[in-house]
Amino acid sequence: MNMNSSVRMLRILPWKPIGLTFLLLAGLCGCLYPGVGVDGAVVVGSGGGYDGNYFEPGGFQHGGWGSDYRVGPSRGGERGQERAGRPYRSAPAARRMPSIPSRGRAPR
Amino acid sequence: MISPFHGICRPPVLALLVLLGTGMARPLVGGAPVQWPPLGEVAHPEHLSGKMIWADLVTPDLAVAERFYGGMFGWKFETIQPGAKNYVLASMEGRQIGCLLQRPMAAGEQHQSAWLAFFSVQDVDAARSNAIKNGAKALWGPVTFPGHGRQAVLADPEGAVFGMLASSTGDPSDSLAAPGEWIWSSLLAQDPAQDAAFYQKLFDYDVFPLPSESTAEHLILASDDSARASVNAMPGGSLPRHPHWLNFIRVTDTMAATAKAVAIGGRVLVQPHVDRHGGRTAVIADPAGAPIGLMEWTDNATQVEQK
Repeated sequence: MNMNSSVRMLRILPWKPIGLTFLLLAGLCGCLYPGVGVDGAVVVGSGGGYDGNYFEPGGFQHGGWGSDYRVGPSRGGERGQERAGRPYRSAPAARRMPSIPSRGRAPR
Repeated sequence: MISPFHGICRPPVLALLVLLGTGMARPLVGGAPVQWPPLGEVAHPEHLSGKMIWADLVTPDLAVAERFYGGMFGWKFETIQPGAKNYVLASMEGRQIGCLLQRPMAAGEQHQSAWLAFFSVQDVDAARSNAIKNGAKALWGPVTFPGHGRQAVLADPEGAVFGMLASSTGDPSDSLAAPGEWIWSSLLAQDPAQDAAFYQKLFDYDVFPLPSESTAEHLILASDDSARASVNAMPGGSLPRHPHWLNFIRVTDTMAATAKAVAIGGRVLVQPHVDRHGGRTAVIADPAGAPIGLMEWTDNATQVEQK
């Protein structure tokens, strides 16, 4: 088969139906296997909206707090004063503030 | 002369080639499926709404991260998809911590490596819609990973990024975190009250105000009678800050842990100090700069749960 016959063959093939069929198949495959495979796993929780990355924006400061800045849990101590007009719904006043889960882990 | 590739350049064929060369067709050639170990510990899966159950670290150098976190906390790492070299599952005595994912960071890129925390929900789609309705921005997903669960990533109304996960095998039980495991989460926010209201709508948290000696508001978010996280007004000062979640690993000795972090390539961001629970906390950065909290917790009253 020479070059001219190859070209003729390429030109007479029904490209539109072939192309549409492949597009349909590729689309179906994408739907049938969501997230499976290397790329699917890489974006696990990595924020695909960040082009597949979850990096925080740079130029910001983390830490550098004073020793009186506290973010830890309570030991179930007293609650703070209710502030008026807060947008959240406070837990009922009778409820004691809970601490973190403290049960020991059951043996496996 | 007509090129022999003339027909190939027709639009449908070009479209197919593009698909084959990019993401859409990759699942077909991605290799073996991911083997997720079960996240829950019980035979009957339960979802503990609002509990942090998973975390992902995106880092530019996986080997460096493995050395650091393995050295710090004794985590073990395993590949969960044969042949995949750019992500590993981190675990501690068989219990899952999260995934470490390697992504290159171009020189001069203004980004920083970070941990992304996932909170438990029963229905990701419903929770995501609820979040968006209340001012969140959808960033990614929801996507289902067979054997793991369905998850999505969002930014809250202030821009702090968080994930939600409906684990297909249930959540880890509510028990005291062992050293080396996640024990606490803190949200540093511009307006703690507004952010607490947002997360309450999302996870049905009970909100408890904490005593505060200043005007800054600090709140505890709780569910299932367990404290899950604190919401804190961002520290003052002129340093450039942005709202974010900070997650803490339990350690037995915060002073020793911070010294070790420095010795193996990390940095101290907040020096060890006594926090409101009576133990010391600190904040360190891993070698790539990802911040992570350290927290001591002593509880002599802990009893082994009887089955």
